[in-house]
Amino acid sequence: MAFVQAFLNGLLVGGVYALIASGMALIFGVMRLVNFAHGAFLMLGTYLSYYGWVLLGLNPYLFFPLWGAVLFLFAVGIYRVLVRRVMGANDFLQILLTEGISLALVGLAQLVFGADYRQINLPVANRITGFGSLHFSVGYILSFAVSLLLVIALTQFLGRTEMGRAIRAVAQNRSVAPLMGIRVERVSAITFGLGVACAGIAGALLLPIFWTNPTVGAPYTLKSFVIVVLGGMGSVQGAALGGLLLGVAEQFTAYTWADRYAEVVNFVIFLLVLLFRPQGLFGGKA
Amino acid sequence: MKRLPKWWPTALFFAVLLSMPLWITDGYVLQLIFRVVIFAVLGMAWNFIGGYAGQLSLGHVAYFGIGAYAMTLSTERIGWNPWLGVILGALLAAVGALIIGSITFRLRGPYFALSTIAAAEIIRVLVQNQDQLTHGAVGTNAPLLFQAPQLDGKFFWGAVPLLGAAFALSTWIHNSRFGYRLRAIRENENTAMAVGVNPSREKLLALLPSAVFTALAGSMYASYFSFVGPDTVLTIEISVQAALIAMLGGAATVWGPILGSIVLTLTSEIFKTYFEHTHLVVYGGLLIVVVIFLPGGVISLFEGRKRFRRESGPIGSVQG
Amino acid sequence: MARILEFEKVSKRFGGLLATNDVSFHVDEGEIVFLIGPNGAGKTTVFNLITGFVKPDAGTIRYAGQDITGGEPYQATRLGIGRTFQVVQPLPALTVRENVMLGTFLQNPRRKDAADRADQVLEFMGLRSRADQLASGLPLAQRKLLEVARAIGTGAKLLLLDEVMAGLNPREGEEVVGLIRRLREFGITSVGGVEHIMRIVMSLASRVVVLDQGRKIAEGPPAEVVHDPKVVEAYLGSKFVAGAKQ
Repeated sequence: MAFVQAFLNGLLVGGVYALIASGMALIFGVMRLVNFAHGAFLMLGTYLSYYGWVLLGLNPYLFFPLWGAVLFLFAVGIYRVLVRRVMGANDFLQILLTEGISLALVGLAQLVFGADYRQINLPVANRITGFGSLHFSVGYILSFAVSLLLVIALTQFLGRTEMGRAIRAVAQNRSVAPLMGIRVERVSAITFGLGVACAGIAGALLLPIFWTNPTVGAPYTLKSFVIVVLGGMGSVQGAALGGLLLGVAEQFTAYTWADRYAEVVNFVIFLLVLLFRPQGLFGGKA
Repeated sequence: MKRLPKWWPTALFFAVLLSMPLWITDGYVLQLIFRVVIFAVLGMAWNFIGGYAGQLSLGHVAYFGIGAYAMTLSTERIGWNPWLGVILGALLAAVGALIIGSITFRLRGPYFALSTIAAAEIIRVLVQNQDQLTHGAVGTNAPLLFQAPQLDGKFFWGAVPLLGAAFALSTWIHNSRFGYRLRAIRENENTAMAVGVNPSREKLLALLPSAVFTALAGSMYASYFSFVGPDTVLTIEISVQAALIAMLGGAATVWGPILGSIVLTLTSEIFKTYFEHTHLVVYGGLLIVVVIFLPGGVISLFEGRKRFRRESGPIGSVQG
Repeated sequence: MARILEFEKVSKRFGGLLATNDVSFHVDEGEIVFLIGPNGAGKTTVFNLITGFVKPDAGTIRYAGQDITGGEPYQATRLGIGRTFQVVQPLPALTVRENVMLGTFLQNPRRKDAADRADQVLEFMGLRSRADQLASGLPLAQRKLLEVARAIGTGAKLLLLDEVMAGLNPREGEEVVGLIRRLREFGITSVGGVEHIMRIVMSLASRVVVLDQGRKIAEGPPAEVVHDPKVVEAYLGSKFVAGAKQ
């Protein structure tokens, strides 16, 4: 039974991972950019959510679209001022730039918010529900549900709207897209904004069930890229499935071995996939 | 008038450096310069694989930590002289480089960089969790490589020759066939292969001294501050620092990492006097500035930007 | 006359595509052999197979009698096979001289010697005046010459030129033809080429091998091959073969 509990916990947290990773997959798939600042943006999402609740009483589960919108605009700004300049440069410089943005954001967060841990007390999130001998925190369920809804919304957006099609076109062939009348710069900016918004909203949703501090985002950058690789480069559906898988893998590791080694699972999976199945579990092209 | 030999500025520089403990009495300043020297070694070591060969390793802290922990644990558990531990650390780092290199060098671009991060993180988590062996997350005291009195001066006289050795190796690499082959690998691996270069072998050959010097820097650093812990010698920040110092000063140049270390350390110190906890903002800000405005590093300001921009990998290079 | 290259019954499949289908040909010392054929015939794949950038699924490749099947590119180069790429791949952040030095370093470990030899090659190629310029600043024609210079610098005996004329105007093309005729001065005894421009092929080649969709369909002196109905059909379609039914 504990086994089933671990599995279901894994799925629940994996749902949020799926959202974070979808954002990373979008950015990587369309812009071929590994967003090393992904975790930092997630962290900003947690702080927006935190201050929104503590200062204004805005429930994260209701106001996450607002935080997503704020981060979307912020990210578009960062794209236009900084990231745009390394599009087309070698990945060496791209990685260093997004890493620099990450460090700067975390550093600024330390200065402005302080380095201490913060938590919020959201009554609905703390409630426990369950059936049989299985117990789940309502917060986990809510975060999972919202995340999954957003991932589905994202895939619908990509599949059915004009902008979504433009984004997919750029992902498939960046050099041909302008010939079809697509403004690649604009698509890149929007993609970056959307990808970051996913991370930020995930952060907002994680706050009620965890805690935050300026460095909380760091592991999520690598984790989300592990998921992108696991699910098949740049595929949002792949990332979603990969997120669920990784969540389960982590919980099983914690359950069978030790909590502390759950982290290592990320890295080991990452190296194994890259070395032996680089196209990912669900991906097509390598 | 007799012409001075070409290397006189270098000799003067090292002579002045070596003499500093004799005329600098302020311990704070000596410590500052010590850190500049150690991080210059770190940057130079990174430069072999990152600057010349163009492989963006963000996992170099693994070797730094191996050096620090090997020295500490061998002294503590086996009773060795810490200097033996330093040598052990260098050897283990070389072995680590062979293992990590043979795995990570199969990957390209961002996958390579991320795999180096993964490798270093695996080591950090293992160290953090093997409490019995390594004192876990808490860390422990590191042994002193020198005896009191005048520890500051003695550490100085340990660090500067280390810098000198790194400098000498860097100079040799810069002008040798090996160095050109590394640059070829950086610019275009296919072309490199077409001119008879075996990229896998050359990358490993570059990583070996890179890892060894990083480990030596790690040992010296840990001993000076008398402490090892996963949060001081195994953090990803140190990996980023290594790359930043080389890039900031001028990648694939001999003096670049020295300049980079000076600029980085001074900038951090200046910010520290006004705000606490600013080093991340400084690193991040400098990284952004370097990438966007000065990809050739500070050294490119001295000798004409175009000539040095090229060494760090031009934006929009031919192969993309 | 020694046989410098033997390409024997080699096949290579990429996924569903049989890029090279049981192809055999040879190059003797002193020959200039061109691979021709319509687009997609698999000509560059042959070069990639010879130089190790692609490993064959079947067949044998021998250089100067030595089996080099499935070897690595750097091994092929060290044995004496030089090559250029269809899409020129210079080392952009290095100077023209340094680019060629990467080639001359193979046989001249010391920098000074490598640089001197590189200058000799640059002189031959007419690039000496640009020796200190960055490779990224060169116009296309010069970049192609640089590519050839680098390959020559390695001390190759067999030079493989992949569409070296593409993108050059007629005058530049003539220059390159002249250089190819004089390659012997640098120890290059044999040349293999992939080419589309028939005029060049006719004037340079001692022999021509025709590929179509991965198979060899004809071989022989250029004048003969050009009139072979199979070759005409491959390029133009069956309607154009003299006497064919509509």
